[in-house]
Amino acid sequence: MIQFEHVSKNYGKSTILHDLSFTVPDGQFLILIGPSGCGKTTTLKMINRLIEPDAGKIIIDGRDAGQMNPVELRRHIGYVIQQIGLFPNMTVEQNICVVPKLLQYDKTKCAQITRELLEMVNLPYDSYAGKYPSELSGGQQQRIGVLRALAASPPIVLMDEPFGALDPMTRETLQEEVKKLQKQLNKTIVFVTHDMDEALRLADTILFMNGGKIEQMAPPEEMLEHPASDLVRSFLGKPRAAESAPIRVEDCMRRNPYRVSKERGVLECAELMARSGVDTLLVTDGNEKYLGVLPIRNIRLYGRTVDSIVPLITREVRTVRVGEDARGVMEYLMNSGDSYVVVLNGDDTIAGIITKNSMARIVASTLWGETT
Amino acid sequence: MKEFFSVYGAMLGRSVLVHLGYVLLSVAAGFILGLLLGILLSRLPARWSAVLLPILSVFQTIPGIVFIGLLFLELGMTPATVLIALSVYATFPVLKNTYVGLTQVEPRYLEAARGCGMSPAQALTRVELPLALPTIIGGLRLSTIYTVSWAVLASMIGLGGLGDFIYQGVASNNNLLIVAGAIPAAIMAVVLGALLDWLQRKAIPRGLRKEART
Amino acid sequence: MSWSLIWEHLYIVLLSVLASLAVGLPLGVLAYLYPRARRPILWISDLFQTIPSLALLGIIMVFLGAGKPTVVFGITLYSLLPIVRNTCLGLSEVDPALKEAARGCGMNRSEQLFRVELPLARPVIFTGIRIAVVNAIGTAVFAAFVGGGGLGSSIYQGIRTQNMQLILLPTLALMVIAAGFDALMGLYEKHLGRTGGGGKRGKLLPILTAAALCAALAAGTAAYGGGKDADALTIYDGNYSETQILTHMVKYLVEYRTDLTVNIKDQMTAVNQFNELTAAQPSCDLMVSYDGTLLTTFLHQDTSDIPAGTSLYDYVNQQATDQYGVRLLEKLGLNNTYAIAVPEKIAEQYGLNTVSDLIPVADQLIFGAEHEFFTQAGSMKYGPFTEFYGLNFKDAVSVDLGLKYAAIENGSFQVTEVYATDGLNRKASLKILEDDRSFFPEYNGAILVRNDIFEKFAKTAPDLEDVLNELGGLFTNETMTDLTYAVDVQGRSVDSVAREFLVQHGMLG
Repeated sequence: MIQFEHVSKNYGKSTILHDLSFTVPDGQFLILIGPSGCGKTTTLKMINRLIEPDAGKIIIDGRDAGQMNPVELRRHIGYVIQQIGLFPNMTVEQNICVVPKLLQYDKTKCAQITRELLEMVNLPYDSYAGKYPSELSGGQQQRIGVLRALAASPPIVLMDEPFGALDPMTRETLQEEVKKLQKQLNKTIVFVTHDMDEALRLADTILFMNGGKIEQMAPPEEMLEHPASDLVRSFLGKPRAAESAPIRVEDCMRRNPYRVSKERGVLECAELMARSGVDTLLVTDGNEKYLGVLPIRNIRLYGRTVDSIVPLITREVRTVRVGEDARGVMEYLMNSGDSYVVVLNGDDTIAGIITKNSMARIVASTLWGETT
Repeated sequence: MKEFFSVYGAMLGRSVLVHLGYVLLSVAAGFILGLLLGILLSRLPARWSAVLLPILSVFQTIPGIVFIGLLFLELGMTPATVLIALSVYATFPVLKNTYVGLTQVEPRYLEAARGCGMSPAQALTRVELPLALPTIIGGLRLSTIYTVSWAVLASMIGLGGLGDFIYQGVASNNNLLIVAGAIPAAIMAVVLGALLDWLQRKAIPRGLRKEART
Repeated sequence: MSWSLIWEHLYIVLLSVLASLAVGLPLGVLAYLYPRARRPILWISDLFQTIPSLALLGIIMVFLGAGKPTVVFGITLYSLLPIVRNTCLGLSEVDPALKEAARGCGMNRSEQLFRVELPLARPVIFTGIRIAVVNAIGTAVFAAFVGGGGLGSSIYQGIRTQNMQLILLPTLALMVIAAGFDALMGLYEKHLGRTGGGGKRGKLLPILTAAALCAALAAGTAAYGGGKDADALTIYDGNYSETQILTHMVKYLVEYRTDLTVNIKDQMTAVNQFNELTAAQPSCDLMVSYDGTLLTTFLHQDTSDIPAGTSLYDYVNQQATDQYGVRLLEKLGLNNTYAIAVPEKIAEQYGLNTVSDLIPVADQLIFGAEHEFFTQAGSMKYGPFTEFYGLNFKDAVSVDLGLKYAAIENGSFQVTEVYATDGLNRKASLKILEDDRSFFPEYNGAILVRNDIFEKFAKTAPDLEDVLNELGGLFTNETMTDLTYAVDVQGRSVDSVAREFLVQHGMLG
C-alpha cells in the first residue's frame, strides 16, 4: 500500500505539488492523469525517490520511504520509462536480470526468471534472450522494459508514459498485456499517462491532477458519469459508443406498447391486434400491473374454447426493469430469437418494450446523432 | 643495405625496444590517470568542464620538447624524465575522451539505471563506462600514436629510442639514418594503432555497433 | 623571442592549412562521392597523422632539403586527416530528405553538391579545419629542427642556454595563439551551427576572412619567400651563436659598405648549408665555416691526407675549389677547435690538466656529447678520438646539442667535448683540458664563399671580397668567447652584440 501524506514540492517559486494526500491499496492499477505540468510525473517519481518531497511523507507498506535507503528502495520497485531505456550494451537477458543481479540472485535463478517472463509475453527464450535491444522493434523493446521492471517481483511497479513512443496498434497490444500481467501477478501499478482512453481502459482508479492538486480520484465509470469539474469533463471528451456511459433499457424502448386489461374479451383482443398490426398484446391487471403477454398464436390455438383471455396469457417473455443496462438486452435479442423484451417500472407497471427496431434506432442515433 | 644492418643493426634493435618500452609504460600510466581524471571530471558540474577542457586542449598544444626540456632541467638525464613527460602527455587524449564518452551517454539510460536501483558506482561500471568504452578506446588510440611520436624526443636528452637515428641523421644530413629511425617509428605507430582498432572493435558488444559512430 | 618569430610561425601554419584545404577538401568530397575510394583515402590520411611528426619531416627532408618547404609540406600532410575526414563525414550526415529533395527538384550532381550538400555540411567541415589549425600550431614547432624557423627555434635556444624565460615565453605565446584560434573558430562554428551559415552575416564573414588570408599570404611570401634577388646576398643563419654572430656581422658590414642587400634566411645546420651552397641550384651565397670542418666533414678527408709542408688551410682551399667551386676567405683569427672539458670540480678531484690525464681514470667517468659527435662518418668523432688516446670511458651518452651543457651541469656525465670559443664553457665552469697529443686539428674560422659570387655581384658590390676580408684577423678565441657569452649567457640579442662589436672596431662609421 502506498500512502501520500501532505506531500508538497516546489521548484524555486512555483509549486509543483500542493499538500497531496491519497492512498493506493495493494493490487490496484492506479492511473495518474492530467494536463501538462499538473505534477503527475513528479508524483510518480516521488514513490521511488527519484524526486524528493519538500514536505510531507510517503509511506510504502507501512514504512516511511524517506527514511529508507533510496538505492535499496528502488530495487524493490519496478520502473518503466517512456524512452524505454534498455541498456544497449546488454542482451535482453542481461537487461531483464539487472535488478536480480543487484540483489545478488544466482545465475540459474536469473535464467529461470528470464525464461518465465519471456514466456508470459510470447517471446521465446531461445531466440530472444541473447538479442540486443538494437535488434528489436520498439514494441518488443518496451515489453522487455516492462519485464525488466517485473523481474525481481517487486510489489509495486511505476510506469511513466511507457507506451507514449509506440504506434497505436502496438500500444493497444501492450496495454492489454500489462493489464493481464497485473491481474496475473497481483501487482500494484502506478501509471502516468496523458491519454484518457488508455486511462479508462486500464485503470482500477484514476487520479486526475491539476496544478499539483487532486481534481478527482475515482474509478473510471464513476468519473465518466460524474466528472468532478469541467476540466475533467473536457478531458473525457465526447463519449463514444463503447466507452460512454452505458445505455439503459429506457433509452431504447418503445413507450406505450399496446396493452389490455385482463377483463377484455378474446374477440376484442384479436380485433385490436388486427387493427393495430401487432401480434402481441401486453396484459395488465386491475392496478395496471404487468401480468403477461397475449400472443396471437395463443388466440388462434385456444381462443374458441375459452371466454376470457386470462388462460391465454403467458409470462415466457423476458422482462427487465427500468435502469438496467441495455447491452444485455441487445445481446439477448440478437441471440435468442425472441423479438422483444418487456420493460417494467419498479412498481411492476409497464414502462415499454424493446424490439430489435427500437434498439437499432437508439444505436444509430448514438453513433451518428439524431435520426428521423 | 646489408652493411647498414651490420653496422647499425644491434643499435637499431636496441632503439626499437627502448622506444617501445617508453611508449608502453607511458601510455599505461597515462591511460589510468586519464581514465580516473575523466571520470572525476564527468561527475563535476558542467561549469568546471567548460573551463577545464579548453585549458587541457591548450596544454596539449605545448610542444613535447618544452616539457621534456623543462623536466630535464629539473630531473636530469634519467628515464624518469622521459616517462613522466610522456605519461602526462598520454593522459590528455584519454581524459578528454573519457569525459566526452561519459557525458554523451543518453539521459534515459542514466534514468533507467537509477530507477532500477543501481548505486552511482554501479551505474558507472555497469552502464556508463561500457557505453562510453568505444570513445575511451578511441582516446587510448590517439594517446598511443602521439606517444610514439613524442618518444622520439627522448634522444634529445640522450635517453635512447628511435630518435637517436633521426637526430643524428638530421644533424649530419645522412638520409639513411633518418629513414632508419623514421620508418620503424612509423611502423610501430601503425601496428599499435591497428591493435587498438581491433581492441575497439572487440570492446563494443554487438548491440552497440549499430549505434556506434566512427 | 621576437614578434618576427611569431609571424614566421603563423605564416608556416597559414600556408600549411591552406595547402591542406586545397588538397583535403576535394579528397573529402571524393571519398564521399565514391564509397569505394573512401577507405583508402581515409586510411592514407590517417597514416600521415600516425607517423611521428619528426620522422615525417625527416623523410620529407630527404627529398626537399631543409627549410620551410619541408615543414609546410609535412604539416600539410599532417593536417589532411581532420579535413578529409570531417568533409566526408559532414557530407554524409546531411539529412537524406534534403538530398532527396535536391535530386527531386532536378538538380544535377554538381548542383546538388555545391548548392545543397556542401553548404549544409559547413559546420562539420569547419570543425575539421579548426582541429587542423590548432594541431598545426603545435606541430610547427618542429620547424626549428629542419631549419624552418618559427617559435620552435626560440624554444630550442632557450633549452640550449638553459634560459627558462626563453623556453616559457614562446610556449606561452603558442598556447595563447592556439587558444585564441580555437576560441575564435569555435565561436564561428557555433554561429554556423545555429544559423546554418545563411543570412547576410553568413556571407560577409567568410569573404572578409578570405581577403584577410590573402593579404597575410602575400605579406608572408614577400617576407619569407626566399626569392633570390640579383641584388641580394643570401645567407642562412647559423644554428648556434658563434655562427649567428658572424653571419649578422657580415650583413651589417656588407650593407653598410656596399649597395648590396643581405638576406639572412632560416637557421640551418652547417652540413645542410654546405649542401645548399654547393648545389646545382644554390640557395645561398656564403656561409661561416672552419677549415677543419671543410676538411673532415665536407671533403671527407682527414689530417693525414694533408701533404707535408702544406697547411691545412691552404690544402682545403685548393681541394674545395677543385671539387666544389668554393673557397675560404681570410682567416678570422679564431680557432674554434674541439676541446675536451670537465667541470672544474672534477678537474680538481682527479688532478686533470691534459687529455692524457684522463686515461687512468676514464673508467670512472661518463663521457657525453651531442649526437653529431657520435656519428660514424668523419674522423673528429668519438670513436677515433677514444681510440687515439686509448681512453675507455665508463659509458658514453649522446644528447641533443642544446642540452649538452645542462646535462653536464646536472652531473649526467663528467667529460664532454666542447667548442673552444663557446661562452657556455665559462658559464658551466668547465675546464678545458689540453689536447697534448694533438688529436684535434685546427678549426680556423673563415667565411666560405662560392667562387662565382664576386662576379655575380660585381655591379652592386665590386669590392665585396675586400669588404668581407675586413673581418679577417679581427678575432681571437678570447674575444669570440666574450661575444658568445654575451648572447648565450647574458641573453643579449645576436643583432646587438654583432653591431656593437663592429662599432667598437670603427667599422660602421
